[in-house]
This record gives sequence, C-alpha cells and structure tokens, in this order.
Amino acid sequence: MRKTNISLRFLLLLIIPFLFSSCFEIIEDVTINTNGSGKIALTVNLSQSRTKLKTIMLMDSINGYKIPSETDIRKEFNHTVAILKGVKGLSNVKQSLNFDNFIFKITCDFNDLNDLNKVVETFSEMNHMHVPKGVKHFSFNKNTSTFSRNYEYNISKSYNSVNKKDREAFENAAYVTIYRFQKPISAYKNKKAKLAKNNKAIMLKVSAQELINNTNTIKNKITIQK
Amino acid sequence: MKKILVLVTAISSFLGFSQNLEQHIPATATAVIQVKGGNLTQLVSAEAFSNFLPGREMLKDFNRKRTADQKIKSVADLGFDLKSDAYYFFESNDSISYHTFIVKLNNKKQFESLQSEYFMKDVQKEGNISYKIGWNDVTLWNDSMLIAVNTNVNSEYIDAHKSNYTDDEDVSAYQLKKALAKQLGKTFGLKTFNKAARTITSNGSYTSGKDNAAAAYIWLDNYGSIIKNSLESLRYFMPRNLRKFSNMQSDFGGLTTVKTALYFDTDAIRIKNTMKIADSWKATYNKIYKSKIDKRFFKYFDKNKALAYMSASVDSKALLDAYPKIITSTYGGALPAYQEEVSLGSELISLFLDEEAIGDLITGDMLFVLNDITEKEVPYTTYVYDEEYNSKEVTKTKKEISPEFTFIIGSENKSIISKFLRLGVKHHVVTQQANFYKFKTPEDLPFETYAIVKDGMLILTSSASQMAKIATGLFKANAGKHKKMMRKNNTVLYANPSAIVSKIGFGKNEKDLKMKKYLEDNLVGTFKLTSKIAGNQFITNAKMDTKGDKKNALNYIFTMIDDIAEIYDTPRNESAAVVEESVREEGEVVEEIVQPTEAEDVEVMESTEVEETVMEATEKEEVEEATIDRVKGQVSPVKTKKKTKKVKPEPKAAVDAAREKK
Repeated sequence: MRKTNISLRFLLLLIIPFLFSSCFEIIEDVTINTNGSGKIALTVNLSQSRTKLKTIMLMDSINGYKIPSETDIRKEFNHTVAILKGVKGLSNVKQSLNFDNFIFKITCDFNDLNDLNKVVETFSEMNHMHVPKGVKHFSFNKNTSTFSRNYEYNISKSYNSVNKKDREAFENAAYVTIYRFQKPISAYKNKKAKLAKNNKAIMLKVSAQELINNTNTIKNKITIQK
Repeated sequence: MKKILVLVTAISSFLGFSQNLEQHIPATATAVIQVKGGNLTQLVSAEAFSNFLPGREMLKDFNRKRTADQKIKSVADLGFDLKSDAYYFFESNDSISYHTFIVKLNNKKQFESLQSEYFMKDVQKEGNISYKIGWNDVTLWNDSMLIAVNTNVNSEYIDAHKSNYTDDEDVSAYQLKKALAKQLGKTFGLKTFNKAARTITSNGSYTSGKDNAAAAYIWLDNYGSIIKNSLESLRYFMPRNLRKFSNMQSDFGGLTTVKTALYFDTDAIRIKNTMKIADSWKATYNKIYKSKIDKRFFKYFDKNKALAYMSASVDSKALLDAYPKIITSTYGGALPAYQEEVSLGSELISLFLDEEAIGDLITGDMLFVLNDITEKEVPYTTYVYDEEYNSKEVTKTKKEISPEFTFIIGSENKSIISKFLRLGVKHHVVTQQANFYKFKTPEDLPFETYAIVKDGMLILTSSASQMAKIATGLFKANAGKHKKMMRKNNTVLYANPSAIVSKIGFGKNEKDLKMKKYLEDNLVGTFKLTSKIAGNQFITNAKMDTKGDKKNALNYIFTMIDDIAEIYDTPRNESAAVVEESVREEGEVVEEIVQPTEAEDVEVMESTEVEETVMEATEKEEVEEATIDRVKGQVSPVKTKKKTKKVKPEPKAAVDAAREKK
C-alpha cells in the first residue's frame, strides 16, 4: 500500500511540470458593409496548447476545476448556436469544432451591429461577467462613417481573483481583432492597430498581459472614407 | 488563547525549550513530540530567527497593537525559554482526549505583558498557578512553565452516560460537553504541573528512539490505534445507520510503534523513521519484502542518465499469498459484522489466482528512471495573414518539453508478454521493429514508447536510441553506488533536484526566470528516500542535501524562504505603470489622417507572435501629445483633453499597512 502511494505521488510530480505552460488566441474577424450589415467570425485557437489539453481532457479535474468532456463542449457550443439562431437580425449561424487541433469557430451574418451588442449582452449575463448593460461594444455611425469597438469588462479584476498558478494560462494568450470595410479607412484611433495594404482592413493584436496591465486595449474608432 | 496555541506551536516547531519537562508527561501518553530547543537555537539563534520571514511575521503579528516602545524585537523576548525542549503529548480514554503542550517560561512577567487585555481579564489563580479557561482549552502557567491543554470530549460517550454527570434534565448534552471540557481540561492541566507518578521516560519504546543529535522526535505508541481513534472520532458526524461501519477492529496492517527523528546537519536534512510490525504480521511482511531487486536490472541503468528514479522490490507471490490476510485485516476489521464474508471472499479470490504464475509474470521488481527532459518539436495550427489580412491556416511547430524515461518490470514469463505484444501488432496498436516493439502513440503525445522483453524483464522506454542500444546489447550500464542502494532497500526514491530544475520550463516572466536561476544556484546534491524491512521494523531514511555555505540545513531553509519570498513578494505591476487607454469616450473626437507609410509598414504577421509593445508611460504620453497637435492643425479644431494618468505602484510600506489592516 505504501509503495503504491509513493509511486503515484512520484509520477504525479513528474507529470505536473508538463501541464503548466499555455498559449491561446482569440480572433474576432468582422466585415462591415457600408449599410452597417456584415458578418463576424469568432475563432478560439488553442492549438498551441493541444498536447496539454489532450492530456488534461483525460482527467476529471485539475486545480479544482472540472474538465469538460468533448461531449460537454459540443453541447455548450450547440446551445450557443441555438441561442444565436434565435437572435433577431442574425442569420447563417455556423459553428466548426476541431478537437484535433482545438480550434473552435462560430460565424454568422448580421443586419446591424446592434444585433452583435445584444449577443454580447446575452452571453455576459449567461457567464455572470457583469458587463454593464446598454454598452455598445460595436457601433457604426452611418453619418460620419465611423465604426467603434468598445470594451467594458474589467479583466484585471477577474484576473486577480484567479489563483497565481492558474494565471499562467494567460501568459501567452492574445486577442486579435480584424475589421474589414468596403471602402478605405481614413483614420483610426488605436495606434497599435495596423492597416492592410489596401487600406480596407485593420488588424490589432493585444496580448492578455497588455489587457490585464491596461497597457493596451482592443478599443478602436475607425473612420471610413465616404 | 488561540494566539497562544498558535505561538506555542510555531515556536515549538522552530525553537524549543530545555528543563526536564519530560517528567510531566505520563507514561500513559500515546503520542509525544519533542522539539529540541537547545539544538535548534544552536543552528539558528533566536535573534537570527527573528530576522527571517517566519520570525518577522510572528513578531509583526505580536506587535500589531503595541506602541513603538513596547514592540518586541526578538522571539527571545517573548518570555519563553527557547533553549529548553518543548513537548506535545496526547492522552485519551474512552470519554475524553487531551492534546497538551508544555513549554518552559523564563520570564513570566514578560509573557503576561504580551497577552491581550481580553485574555488577561479572566485569569484565575490556584496556588502559584495562573490559568485562563477558553472555549475548549485551558492555558496554565507558573514562574517556569506553561501548559496548554486542548480537550475533546467524546460526544457519544456523554450522550450515553449523561446521568453519571448531571441529574438536571434541562442541561443539554452540548452544554454538558462544553462544561466538562473546561473542567476536565483544568484538572488535567493542574495535574500536569506535578511530575507524573510514572513518566513517559519509563517507556523503553519511547526512550529508545530518542537521539540527542535530533532537532525533533515524534513517537506514536500505536499507529493503527491512532488511525482507528481518529476514524472513530468522526463517527459522531456520520449518519446513525452508518456508524456501525466505522466500528474499527482493524489492526491496520499490523503497524504499531512509529518513531521519527528529524535532523538538520551542516549540509543535509535527514529524517529517520521506524515502524514496528506486530508479531502476528512479522512473518508475512518478511516474506513479502525479503526480495532484492534483480541484478539484471542494472544492465540497463546508467547513473549519469538518471535525473530521478524509483525502484521497488517485493515478492509478488508472497504478496498474493498474504492477500486474504491483508484484506480480512483491513476490511474485515472495518466491517466487523461481515468479517466472515470478507474472509471467505478474499479466500475465494485467492483460490482462483495462481500466485505462482502471477509471480512469474510480474516478479515484483520494478525500476522507473527519468533519464532526461528534452525538447521536442510538436505541430500546431495557426494563421498567417496576407497584406489584405485574409487569413490562411498553416501548421507550425513549437518546442515542448518531453520526458525521456525507462521503465523496467521484472517478468519471468517472456512468452505471455510476447504474446500480448504480438496481439498488439495484430490490432495495429503496436508495430514490430527488429527485435523490439513500438507502441502507436497519438501524435500529440510528446513522447513515444518502445518495448522489449529481455533477460527476464519487460523494458519500456521513450527513447528510440536507448531502445536500439538495449536491443543490440550496446547499452553502457553504470550503476555505481546506486546498485548497492537499490539492492539493500525495498524501495528507493532518488532525485537530482537541481538537474531537474535546469531542465524544466518555468514561466517566462522575470520573476519565474529569477526563481529558476535561484533554484539552479541553490539546490544542490540529491534527494534520497530508502525503505527496507529489518526484523520487525520498517526503516525509512530520507536525506536531502543542502548547500553547506548556509551554515546548516535549518539556516538554509530559512534563507531560502526569505529569498523566494523576496523574488515573488514584490508589489504587482511595480514596473508596468498603468497608462490610460488610447481611445477616449464617445463624443470626444480626435482623429488622425492615415499616413501612407503606415500601410507600407504592415507586414505579413504571424498571429501567435505577440508583439512586445508595452511602452513606458512617459513615452506614451509624448506620442499622444504629438498626435493631438497634428490633428488639431489638420483636421478638427475640437478641443481635446488629455487624461493620461500614471498610476504609481503602491509603495511596499503602504501595501504592508493595508495588509495589516485586513
């Protein structure tokens, strides 16, 4: 009996260092038409941590967190898609789940950017993220041809409430936004964003650490040529 | 009271005390802990301890409500005689159990002056002994000694014998229990002030394990009965119909007296532990553990390629033979009502098992070696973007650390294992390569597994080159002294901590890198844990080497705690000043004409490369200022307010003060 315990602990000690080191990226790719309609693709790419994730998914729980099974994740996504399909103004809702590479994607078309705000609000409520109500995460002013991306969530507060060991998961995480327009961009506010060569798309990559430390933001205000 | 208990425990753990307090421990005590203050204060003086983190924290806690001139500067000023031994002992009967701490006082006045007003308010006296009764504990002291007794009254016993204690129907069992705990605790404490009629020193078992060189000594009269008592004490919390299951009559594998001594040498921490085996179990254990690891194992062991290893040797046939006895003892005892059933069940299992055949298949010898930790390229998917930011999925590789190991299991039945492996080939989970096999592992696993059956062993390894050498007989073994260590013990756990630390990945932030460097510089030597059976005892020895330049191992531990706390305990965000986000609220229009050069600057980016663009706050301010000026001139006359603010990191003192407030 004693021997089993010793060997189990020993093996655990050997395995644990391989579990902690993590990388993931979230890509928000939005195409906005001149009339304010468009399409969005939200991708969560955990491929860089796939080895670790595959190991973790063999377990029931880690660091006190229950590990969802593939079925749980699929269920959750199906539920999400069902909700999205019910949102007025959204159409063509699709999901793609790749458990081999751990890349998850949801795409949909929208009639108006306000429809996306409703989605953000719905999910914030579902996940108890306490995002202030009525905040326009996305807006498009047709008169001034200005697209705004706002962001109202105190990530550093949530981050600080996570225990130190778990914070490592965010060490190499990044949030990428790409906004595409039919006409060239004439001005933009967030200086860390970069314009595409054709001036019709703009990309901004913010690391989780920058978001947490408030040294960068995904907020931007982009003016399109009329 | 809680504070005193915490303090006494803390002090006892680090610094003990020395008059013969042992004379106050009755021979009926079933557990004793001795903390040798003299030895400990020689290793780390009270003054030095006061300057280490645990000492500083302890004093800070003590000084919290004290004015500057009242503040205690050293743990030597707390009124305790730190050079004397300190003791904890446990005594119990069927209705009550006592946890008792005894420490020596050298300055009663000082001790009293350090207690809170609340604590001192209801202090009572009996002769020259002062005492304070707490919730379920009593603290008693005179000029030279402090005794703290924590009393636990067995609720079930009180329920059943309530009439022995009171005739008053209105007194609840809870009230009675509380009153009894206080009263009996006080009586017990007062009694302990007198030397015991028969002291623990009359117990040869207790004294035989004592060692003057040890820093601490733990003695448990009967391991099995302590486990049994602790389990039984939980009965009260169980649903009534389940309580019968906890009526333990188990002898817990026949393990009785435990003696553990802890040593802090100049360059190592050592623990010596012995566990006595009950006579009825001696023959069984000796049969199981008489085995020595097969010498042939060392043909595939190279000490220079072992970051860590674990070896074990038991006689699997003897273990299986003893199986019915073990099961009956463990579970039959736990479920006394079903003793016969459990016994029959385990005998039946034994009937079906061919111990001899199983003993051949798995001899009971095994050796797991962590040879190395290497980096291996593993694929992952990411996106690249063309100049118009259209994305394309590409596969890249990244380095991941991967263990290189060898696992050897003794087996005298080559044919059955070979059959298993061939069956694996048939079902495509194993491929045969020359005279060894390769397991089909998912491509994501950072290691592969190769297997061979050779010389009465099943050898598994993650290294192809290692397997090739084993299969062709070209493996260069070098067991050195490890051979003797493994042969002489039933279990060996060995690790080279500094080598492991240098191989494994830490986080990439500055603190983690510092930590890694610190550990690489300060972890030295090896960690060894060996255990074997000798006569009627299990003997376990653990030894961890420490850096000799830190005077001694205790000093080494305290220094390390301080150093590590310093690496991690700096206020967060000290270097990264928080700057305001570059986008303002709605309505505040600040625009900029896109410079054509910016578009040309855009390169095809790899999405996972996180740019290091954290700017110093001041630098950022300047950039924004320039932008605003340019905008004002060219586009809009709208007045803009610049609200960049720098948040200074909180000074350490302020953080400490805030913590204290909490």
